[in-house]
Amino acid sequence: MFTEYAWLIPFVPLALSPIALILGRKLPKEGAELGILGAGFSLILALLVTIEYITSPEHPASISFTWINLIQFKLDFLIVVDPLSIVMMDIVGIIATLIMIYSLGYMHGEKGLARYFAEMLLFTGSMLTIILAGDLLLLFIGWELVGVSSYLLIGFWYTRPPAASAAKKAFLTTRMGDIFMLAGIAYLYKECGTLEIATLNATVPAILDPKLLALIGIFLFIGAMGKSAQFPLMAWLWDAMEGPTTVSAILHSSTMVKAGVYLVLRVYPIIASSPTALQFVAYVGAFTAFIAATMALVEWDIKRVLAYSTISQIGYMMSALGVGGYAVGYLHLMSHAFFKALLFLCAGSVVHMMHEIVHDPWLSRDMRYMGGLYRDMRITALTMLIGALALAGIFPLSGFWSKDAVIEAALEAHDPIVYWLLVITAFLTAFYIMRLWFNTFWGELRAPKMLKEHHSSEHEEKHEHVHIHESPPVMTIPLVILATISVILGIIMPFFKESFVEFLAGYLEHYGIHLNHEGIAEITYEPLWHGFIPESIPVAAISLLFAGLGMWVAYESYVTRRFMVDRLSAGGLGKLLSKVLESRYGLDGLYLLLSEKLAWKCISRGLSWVDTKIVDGIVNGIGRSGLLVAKISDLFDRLGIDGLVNAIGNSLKWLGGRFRRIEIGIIEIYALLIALGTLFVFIYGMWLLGYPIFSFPFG
Amino acid sequence: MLNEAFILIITSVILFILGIYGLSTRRNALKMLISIELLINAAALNIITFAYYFYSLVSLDAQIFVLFIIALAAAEAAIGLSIFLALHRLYGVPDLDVVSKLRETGE
Amino acid sequence: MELGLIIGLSVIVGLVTLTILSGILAIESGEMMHAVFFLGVLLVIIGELYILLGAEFVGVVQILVYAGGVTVLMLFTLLFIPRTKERLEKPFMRIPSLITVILLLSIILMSIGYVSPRAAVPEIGYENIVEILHNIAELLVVDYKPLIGIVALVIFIVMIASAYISSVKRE
Repeated sequence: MFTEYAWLIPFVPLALSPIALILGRKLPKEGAELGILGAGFSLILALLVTIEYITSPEHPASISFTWINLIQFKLDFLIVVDPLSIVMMDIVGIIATLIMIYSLGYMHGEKGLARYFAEMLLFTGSMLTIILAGDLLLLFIGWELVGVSSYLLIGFWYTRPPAASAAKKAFLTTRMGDIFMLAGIAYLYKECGTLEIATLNATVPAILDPKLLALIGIFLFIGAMGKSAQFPLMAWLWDAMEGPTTVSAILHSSTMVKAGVYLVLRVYPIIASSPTALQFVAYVGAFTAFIAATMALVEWDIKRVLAYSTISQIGYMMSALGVGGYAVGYLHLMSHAFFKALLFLCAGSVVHMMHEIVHDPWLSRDMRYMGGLYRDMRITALTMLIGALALAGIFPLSGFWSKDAVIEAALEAHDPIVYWLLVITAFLTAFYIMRLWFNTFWGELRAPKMLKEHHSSEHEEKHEHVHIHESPPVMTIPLVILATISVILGIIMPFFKESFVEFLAGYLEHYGIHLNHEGIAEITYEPLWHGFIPESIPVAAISLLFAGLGMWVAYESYVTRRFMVDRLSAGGLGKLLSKVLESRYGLDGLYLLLSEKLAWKCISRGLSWVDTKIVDGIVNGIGRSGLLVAKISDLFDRLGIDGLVNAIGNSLKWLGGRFRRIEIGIIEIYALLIALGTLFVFIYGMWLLGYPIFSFPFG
Repeated sequence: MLNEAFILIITSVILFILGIYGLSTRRNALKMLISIELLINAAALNIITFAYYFYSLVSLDAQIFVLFIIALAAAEAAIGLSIFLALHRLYGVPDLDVVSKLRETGE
Repeated sequence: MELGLIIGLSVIVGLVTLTILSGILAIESGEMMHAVFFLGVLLVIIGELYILLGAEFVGVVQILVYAGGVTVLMLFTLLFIPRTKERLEKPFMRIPSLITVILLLSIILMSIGYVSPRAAVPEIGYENIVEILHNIAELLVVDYKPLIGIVALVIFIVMIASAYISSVKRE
C-alpha cells in the first residue's frame, strides 16, 4: 500500500526545496523546519515501505510511474523498490534527518540559511532519486542533480575564494567522470534501445562481446570514480571540506560519495561479466584505499583527515565489489555511512568550539591547536572515540565486522595485492584516526601557546579566556544517536549478516549471479599476480593485530611521546616522504597544471599562433581581393540598389500619405474596432454554421 | 468536455481580450505594441488549438500558417519599434495621445 | 480519471494561469522593462504549449524567433529610451473598452457550449522529426510558394523601412 507512493520519497524533498528557498526567510527557524520535515517525511515513508516490503510475501519488482500523460507527450520514469534501494534509502533517510537536526544548531546564526536548507533538500531528494531509479535516465538526472547540490553546498560561503574554487573543482572533476559514464550509457542505449536497469542487467552480458563489455563496465565505473573520489579523480574531496561540516558529513562521507558504489551495486551484472572491468574496479579501489590513508598520516586539518579516510574506506568498498564481495561491500557501505557521519559531526562539534577560541575558520580546524578537549566535551569525545574505534575496526563495533568481511573477500579471491594493500591500510587507518583522537582530546589545549607563537600580533588584544563547553543538545543528540547505531549495528551484525546476504541475494538471483553464504558472488575474478596470502590465519586475527599495532603506535607517538615522529620526518628519507605526502602526491599540482597551464596557456597560445599566422593571412588575402570586388559592387550599389531603395521609400511615403487620409489618429478606436470586427466575424460565423447564439447552452 | 482544448480556447479568448483592453487603455506606445503582440499570439494559439482538436497531430498546414503569422508579427514588431524610437527622438515622449494630437494640428 | 491525465490537465491549467498572469502583468506593469520581460515569459509559455500540443516545429520557432528575437529587440529599443514610468491610463476610454470587452467575452463564452466533441480522429502518420521537417519544407516550397515570396518581400521592405525610420534625427 505504501509502495505505490514510493515516488514521494524523492519527490517531497525536491518539491520542498524551492519552497524553502522562497519562504525560508519568513519562517522562525529559517527553513530548518522544512528541511527536517522533508527529510523526516522521506525517512518515515522509507521505513514504512521497508516494513511493507519485508513483511509481504510477494512484492512488485518495480513501479512504473508515468509522470506526464498528455495525448502527445508521455514521460515515463521507473521507480524500483528492491533490496538494494531499500537498504540505501533507509540509510540516507536516517542520516539526512539527523544531519538536518544537527544543522539547526551548527548553522545557527549563519546568513543565507534558507538557501542552505533548500540546497540540502535538493540534495536529499536527488540522492533518493538515484537510489530509487529503475532506469539509467532517472539515475543520471539524480546523479547530475546531486553534483549540482554538491557544488552549491560546498560553495555555500561563496564569498570566500577557496570555497568557490573548491566547489568549481568538485563539479568539474565529477563532470569528467560523468562524461565517461554518459558515453557508456549512450552506448548501452544504442545497443539495447532501453535504459531500464533490469533489462540491461539481464541482456547486456549476453549481447556484447567481451572487449566492449569491459569498456562499458570501465566507463560506468569511471563515472562512479568521479563521484566517489577514487584515484585519480579524488582531488576534489579534500578541498570540498571548505563547505560547512554538516555538508561534509552528509555529502562527502555518508551519502553522495556512496552514489558511485551504489551505481556499481546496481549494474553489477554488467560489470561482473567482464573480468577486466572487475580487476580495474578492485585495483583502483585497493590502490586508492592505500594512498589516501598515507596522505592522512601527515595532515593536521581535522576535516581533511576524515576526507582522506572517506576516500580510503570507499576504496575498501570498491575493491570488495571488484573481487566479488557484493554483500560485503554493501555491508561496509552501511556501517561506514553511520560512523563516518558520526565522525564528521563530532568534528563539527569540535570545530564549532574551536572557532570560539581562535576565530579563524582555517585555524579552528587545525589539530595542532587542539588538545585537552576531553575534559569539557565529554559527549563529543566519547562518541568520537566510538566512531574512531569503529573506523579502525575494533571488535565488537560495526567497522570490525565489515572491514574483516572485505579482507576475507580478497582472501577468497586469492588476490595478494588487494589483500596486503587492505591489511596495511588497516594499520594506517588505525594509526591516523587515533592520531586524530589523541591530538584533539588528550593532553592540554595547545591553542594559547600556538596563537602566541604564530599570531602574536593579531591575537594579543583578542585573546580572552574562552570557557570550553560542550555543544548544545541539538548537536549532541544526533551524535549520541549515531554512536548508538554504530554500537548496536556492531553487536547485531554477526547475527544478521546471514539474512542480509540472503536479502541481497534476491536482487542478483534475477540475473543469474549467486551469492554464497558469505556474501561473495560466484564470478570469475582473476588476480593480476599470484603471491603469498596467509590463508590459514583467520582474517580477524590479522586485522585486529594490525589495527592494534596502529593504535599502539599512535598512542606512543602522541601521548607518551616515546616515538618521536617529528624526528622521523626531519631526517632525510622521512623528510622526503612527508613532503610527498603533504603535497598529496602532487595531485593538486597536477590538476592545476592540467587545467590552467595546459588548457589556458599551451592550447590558447598555440591557437593564437595559428590564428595570427595562418588565419589572418588568409583573411588579409581575401580582404585585398575583396576590396576590388567592393569597388565594383559599390558602383552597382549606388546606381542600382540605392535607386531601388529610394524608389521603395518614395513609394511608401506616397502610399502612406494616401492611407493617412483614411485614418483618424486615435489608436484606441482601432482597438475597439478590432473588438467589434471580431464580434461581427464571430456572430456571422456562428450564424453560418447554424448555431443559435443567445440561448445559454453549457449543457 | 473539460479537455485541454477547451481550456486553451478559453485562454486564447482571454488573451485576445486582454490585448484589446491593453490596446485601448494604454498611452505608452510600447505598451500598445505589447498588446498587439498579445492579440497576435492569442490568435495563433487559437489556430493551433483548433488544429490539435480536430486531428491527432497538429496538422502541418496549421503549423505553416502559424509560422507565417509569427514571421509577420516579428516584422511588424520591428517596424513598430523603429517608429517608437523615431517618435521618441522627435517628440520626446512615447505618449501617443500627445503625438496624434500634434499630428492633427500639423497636417 | 487516471493519474497521468490529471497531472497532464493540471500542467496545462498551471501553464494557462501563468500565461494569463503574465499577460496581465505585461500590460499592467509600471516599468517598461518589466512589461517586456513578462511579454517574453508569455511568449515562451505559449511556445511551450505549442510543443505540448504536438506542434513542436512551431513551438520551437516561436521560442526562437518570437521570444528570442522580438523580446530582445524590444529590450534593446528600451535601452535607448530614458526610464519613465508609464502615466495613468486614459480614464475616458476605460468604460467603453470594458463594455466592449465584457460583451465580447460573454458572447463568445455563451456559444462555446456548441463545440462538438471529436468524432473520428483521422490519423496523420508522421514518424519522426525528419519526416515532419521534410513535409513542412515540401509544403512550403510547393503549395505555399507565393506566400513565401510575399512574406520575404514584406520582410525585405520592413528591414529597409525600419532602418530608415529609426535613423530619423531630431531637427
